[in-house]
Amino acid sequence: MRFGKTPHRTFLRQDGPAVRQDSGENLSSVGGSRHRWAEIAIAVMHEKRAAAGLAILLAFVLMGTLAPFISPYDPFRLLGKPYLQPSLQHPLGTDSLGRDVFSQIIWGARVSLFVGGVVAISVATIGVTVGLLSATSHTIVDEILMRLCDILIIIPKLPLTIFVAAMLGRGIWNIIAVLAAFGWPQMARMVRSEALSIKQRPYVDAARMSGAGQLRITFQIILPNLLPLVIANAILAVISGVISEASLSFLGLGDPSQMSWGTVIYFSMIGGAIYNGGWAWVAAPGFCISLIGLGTTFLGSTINVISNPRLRRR
Amino acid sequence: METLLEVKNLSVSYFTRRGEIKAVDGISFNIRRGEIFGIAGESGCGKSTIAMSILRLIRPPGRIVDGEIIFDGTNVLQMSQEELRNFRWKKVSMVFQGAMNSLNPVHRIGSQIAEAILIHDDVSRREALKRAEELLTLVGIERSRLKDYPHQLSGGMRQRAVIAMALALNPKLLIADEPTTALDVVVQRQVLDLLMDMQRRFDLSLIFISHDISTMAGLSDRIAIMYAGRLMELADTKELFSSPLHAYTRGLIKSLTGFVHKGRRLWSIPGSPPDLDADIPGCSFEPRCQERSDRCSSNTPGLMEVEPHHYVACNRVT
Amino acid sequence: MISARYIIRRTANSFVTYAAALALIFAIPRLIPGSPEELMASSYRLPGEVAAELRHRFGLDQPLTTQFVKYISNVILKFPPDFGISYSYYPAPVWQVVTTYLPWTIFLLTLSSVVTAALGLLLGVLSAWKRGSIVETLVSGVSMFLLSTPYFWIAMILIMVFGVYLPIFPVAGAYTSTVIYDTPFRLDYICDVLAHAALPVMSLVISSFASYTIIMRDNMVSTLGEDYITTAMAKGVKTRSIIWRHAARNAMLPVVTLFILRLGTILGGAIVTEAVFSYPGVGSLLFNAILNQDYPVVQGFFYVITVMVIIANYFADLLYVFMDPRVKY
Repeated sequence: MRFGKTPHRTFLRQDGPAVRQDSGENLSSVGGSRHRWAEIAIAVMHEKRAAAGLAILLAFVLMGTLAPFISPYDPFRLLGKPYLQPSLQHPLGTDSLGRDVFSQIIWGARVSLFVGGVVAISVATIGVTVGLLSATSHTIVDEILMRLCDILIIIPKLPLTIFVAAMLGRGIWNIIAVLAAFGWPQMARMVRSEALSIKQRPYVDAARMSGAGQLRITFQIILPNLLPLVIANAILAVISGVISEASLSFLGLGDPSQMSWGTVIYFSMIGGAIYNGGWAWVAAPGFCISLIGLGTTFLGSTINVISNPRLRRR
Repeated sequence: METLLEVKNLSVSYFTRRGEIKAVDGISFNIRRGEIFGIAGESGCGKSTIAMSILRLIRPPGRIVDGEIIFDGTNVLQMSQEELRNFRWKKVSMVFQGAMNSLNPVHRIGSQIAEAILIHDDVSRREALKRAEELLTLVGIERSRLKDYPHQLSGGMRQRAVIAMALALNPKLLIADEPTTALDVVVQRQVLDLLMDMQRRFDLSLIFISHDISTMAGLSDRIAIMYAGRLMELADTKELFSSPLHAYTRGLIKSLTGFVHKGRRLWSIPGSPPDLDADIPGCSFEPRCQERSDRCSSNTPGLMEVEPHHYVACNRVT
Repeated sequence: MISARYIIRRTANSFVTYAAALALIFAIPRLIPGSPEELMASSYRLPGEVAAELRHRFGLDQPLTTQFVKYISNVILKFPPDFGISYSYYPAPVWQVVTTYLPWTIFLLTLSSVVTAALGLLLGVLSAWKRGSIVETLVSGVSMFLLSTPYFWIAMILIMVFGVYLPIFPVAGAYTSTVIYDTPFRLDYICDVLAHAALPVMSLVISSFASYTIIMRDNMVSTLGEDYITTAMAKGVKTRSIIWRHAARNAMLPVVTLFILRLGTILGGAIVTEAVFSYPGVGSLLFNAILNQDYPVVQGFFYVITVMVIIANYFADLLYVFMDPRVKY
């Protein structure tokens, strides 16, 4: 028993023979996979939570994309008095240097979500590659890759990230690189175990018997069946990217030329917001991060449940 | 014979997003002391709901909407929580569907039986365990199994243990809800024999619930046939098999007697039971009935005693 | 139950992970662009010959393989493990530096993990039992929101609330440093330490109980639907006993695994939280070591916490097997 198997015990009870039977049917036809996608998308949108999650995320993505047009001020421009309370002119007040916090939050969405998004895509790409490689290759390769995952998972990720980020120096791409480099093992392990279970299903046997090669089975059968799961977890990886970036920025390891939500919290910390009545300055960025978290959790976990019949019984 | 349990006009509904589902719709019957009473019907017809109602185990979204359940002169539905706790298992106990899941996997067999004793009788834990041991021997399980966990027993043994647990407090009525599903055929026979043996030995009243009237035929004194939440026919077993009055009963009997070829029945009643979330005007069996008349789609037949102790709910008969 | 074979295999596995982690801890500072001595020389603006002397003293002038062999033998064969001398706390040995800070972190971690798990489980059980009521809506809503709330932000909010508006808890340090006690076993000292731990523990608890609540609720809901719960109800078992003895006992099993899996995460959180509250634990140590490019201390830090997590994982697996009679290996 390696560490890698631990999470699966969660489903020990649920994963009885009766449940396993239907998981084969639900993730069925190869040719009809596009059909199944539409089905999943529709089912997901029928869930109130998922729709709410998507709405939250879209709102923030829109906010970030349109930041140059909708932000009332330049987030870095010194406008005047510091520590102003929220008002019509400055909905969230001003910071210790007299900069507009509201504009910082709008630009923060752009930076934070960019980091979160790029990290999620990288994590998914590396995770799927390693997971599939591990699931379809020889025992030795599999063993080495999974052992690597074990180690990366067991060494607490945040300190490691902090250390490497500090060594690489400030810069948004450095942060993205570090977060991607240490974020993929969970994804790889999940992809591997799911790929292994798909490999066992009757339609894969059928394809193999009809002469499909390893490559074709991997890319035309296993991968499409994996994707909903990968997408769900990539969505969940966005928030972990956002939080990790915020943690680094908060510790002063971020890119000070990019106003992410973490940077806003960092400035509020060193700018003494707490002792100068800057409650809105402190509260707003963290609140936005939590909202993003809520959105990704709603959307990601719904997709997970709907595309994975093993979980649906709950 | 003396009446032990009286179910009067019982209605149970499940309130779901799709609306009210009438799982049991105005059912009445009596259980006499010492008799074996069979309730038969297809799955989803409300058999188990009746069983659960007798012990007031219906949980939300389900609710008993109407009726009375009178046990030994007391209405179960009006008992306080305290009275109900004393009533459960002490007066009426139950052997549930599916031997696999009615024992808690993380507690030992012995302690689960002892738990039932400890709740109701003022005895020490040690004494309770000793009685659990005796009960296990009674149902043919070695004493050493007392400390086993459920997964260490075979399916048949588990169901025996459940029967031992059901007998722990010497109840007057035992409800056996599909006690042998999920067991091998040979084991099924053994479990049924054990149940019958215990019924005779303790002079129990037994409600035996099954979808399989062939098993029931050899065991029950009387049989009630249910369909879509309603009682269709109720009679002595012999009478029911020799002169069934309801088309559904005849269909059931026809589907099991006659030819069984390679395990597949050659005849079954065409169609399937109705959805219970829609109001059913008239007889609920009407769409599948081969003897229906115009009245059947509008007039709901009530259960009538057409011959002594032979009740039927059918427009053609009444 | 647990077979000897399982224990042996599981133990061997832990050692493989340990060995690999050792290698990684050695490699990481050396994989970073710019060698340690270059970074050190540049950051302290040391003259060439002093840098060379330092390099020699820390053994950085030797070939990588020699360094590796030396590192391994110093760490494995010696007790306490020898990570050399700290650059920034010169000439204190790394082990001594790390173990000075470690107790505070362990204290913080233990206290907050226990409170977190207890609170999370309690709320999870409550919301499953009160399914469909306002209690459940409230608990799930709050949990969902807190699920991805940054630790340090909660910490700042707490400092703001308790430090400024409601000053009942101290907002920095682990004890009042202006008072010197003759012995740590004094009631006022213990109270002082607990008061200082209040806000860090609260911020860790608030930001991490939600995952327990959500998982526990889901498990409870599915457990409460099991046949053996109906059996227990039919037996006349009291509601409280049904919830705890029959349902929660089973629903809790996967949470044990979660508890350990989250240990690494909560440790990460503790590090950032320590930084906010200037709490003298290994988090603050790591942070300072990073700022001072004190590699030996960084290595010592990773070594200690990795070993802690490996051991915790090991016992969690054994505990799980012990708690769930169905699991056999």
